[in-house]
Amino acid sequence: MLGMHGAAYANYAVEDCDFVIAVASRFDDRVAGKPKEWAPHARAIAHIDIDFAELGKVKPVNWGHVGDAKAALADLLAAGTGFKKDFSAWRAHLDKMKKEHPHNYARESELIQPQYVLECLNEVVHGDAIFTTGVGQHQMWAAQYVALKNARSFLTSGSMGTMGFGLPAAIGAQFANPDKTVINIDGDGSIRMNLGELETVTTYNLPVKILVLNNSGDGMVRQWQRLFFAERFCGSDKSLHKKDFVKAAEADGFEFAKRLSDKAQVQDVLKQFVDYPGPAFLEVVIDQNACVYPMIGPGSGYKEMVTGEFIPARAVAAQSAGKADLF
Amino acid sequence: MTQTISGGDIIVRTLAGEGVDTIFGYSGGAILPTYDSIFRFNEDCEKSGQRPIQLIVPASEQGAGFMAAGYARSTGKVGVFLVTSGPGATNCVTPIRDCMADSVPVVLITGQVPRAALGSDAFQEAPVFSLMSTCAKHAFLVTDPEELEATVRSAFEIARSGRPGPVVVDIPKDVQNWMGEYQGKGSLTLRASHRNMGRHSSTCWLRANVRCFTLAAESSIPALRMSCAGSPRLLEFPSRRRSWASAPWTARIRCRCTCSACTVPRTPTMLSKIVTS
Repeated sequence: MLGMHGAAYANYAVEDCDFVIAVASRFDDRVAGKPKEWAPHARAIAHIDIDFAELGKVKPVNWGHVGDAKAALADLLAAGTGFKKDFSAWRAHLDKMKKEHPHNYARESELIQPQYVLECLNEVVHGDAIFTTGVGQHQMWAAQYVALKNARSFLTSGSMGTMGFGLPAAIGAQFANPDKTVINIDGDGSIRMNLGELETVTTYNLPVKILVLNNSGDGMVRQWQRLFFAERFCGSDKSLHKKDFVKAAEADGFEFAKRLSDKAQVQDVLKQFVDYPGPAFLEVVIDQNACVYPMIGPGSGYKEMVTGEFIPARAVAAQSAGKADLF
Repeated sequence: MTQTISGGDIIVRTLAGEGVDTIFGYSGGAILPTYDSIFRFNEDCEKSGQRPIQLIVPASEQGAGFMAAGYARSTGKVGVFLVTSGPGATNCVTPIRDCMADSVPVVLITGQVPRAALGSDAFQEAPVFSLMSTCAKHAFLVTDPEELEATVRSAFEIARSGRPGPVVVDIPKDVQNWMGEYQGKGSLTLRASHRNMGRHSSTCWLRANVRCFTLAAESSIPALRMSCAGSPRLLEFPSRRRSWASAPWTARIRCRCTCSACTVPRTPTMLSKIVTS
């Protein structure tokens, strides 16, 4: 993933490359906050999209093609039969960046880090599940850390960013895929928006797994207020301190409903949770101050990417504007 | 002789014909005739051994919308949700806009107050067509029951064709209660036909493009005359095209529309910048 919370190495690759092939990509503001500065060294951009209106909408393209991605790519490959070029130096450069700037977090912290929970989840499901998310920090952590194996297995409200999407989307996905494991990775703020659907899960006895990363409030809002509004936590300190999610799940008929706050138990409890044959609800109490990094501030270019304490940056990031003019 | 059935029955049969096996829906006054049709359809299925349509009841209409989205996103098939008029429909604005923004194919069927009550601030009345047409791929208000079946079928075609997206069909209660014949085929003829998008999507365009550029590269003032009949989105949403005019094309191809109904006679199109160097 690239963009606002994309992998540092992916964003560096965009900075360094000289040719971009965009397939079904909208260059929205989360990917290209400053379209003019996006991929500054790219001598050409090729863009394939099924919607004519997307070509050139944000980023001028040198070659555009309207078509179904699969068919268009197959046709392009066929047209390029015989094309040869040695990209090994570029590949070596990418590998080096992956090694030097990987995703990372406070591994030594005594508090449960959300990224650690997701790494443990990967060891249990090995990407063999359909994941849904709400919107906010947990969504970005899931996008960064969850290992995926199959197509159509990461369902998230990517453009609209609708909090409350995760639980009902998981229910719909489970009805459509009764034999697959469906895991809703949610935040305490997001799941509360459609919490009524807990009862739908038990009414139909769907084996949906609901994993709530609870940081007692809207973490992404707090993160922005910390970074762009001098820690004036207006409104974000007022909710979700009293909510007992386990009782709520039990009240809606969940027989597996647990709260996890001991880091040493994360692996074991996650395994019980995923292996449970029926509806299961697990709340994990995470570090309230955990932030999503890397981060490119709204309306900023990739040069201004902040990688945080645990991801080595390639160079000191340019000074951020300080105040968010955009959204 | 063809049997006469209710509008609700026609809706359900058309859904079944489109391969719908699951509907996510919350009930209410203005959609009850169609709910009753689902009940009777499934009763008949039980007798004949056909596959019934399972009706899943959420806690709220927004939940129904995201369930349909989860169904569609995880399978690629069209997700279907069915709600009542007024608050039932307005609660669906968020999932409809969400599906539009992420290109998810869903069909939403909303009950509406009877045609005679439209615009009278009737109980549970909301301007669904107006609300939804700004955020869905397409919105219909069925005013002629003779077009009900074709409209529901067209909704599926539009949802799944080209760039997938959400389609809303608002159906007054008296249209659901209307008695008529089920044809089993036929869809609407739409001027801005999304079906024609399929032609744009065909890979032959890649080759056509290359040829076009070769021709254009040989020309100093290239002009391309074409009909907009197959490219509705090309001529819509001016805001999306705002960057086109300023795009640094080495050669700009002019698209001139030959369709008599089109109000945009000259549209700069950017099929591609011709790389001449």
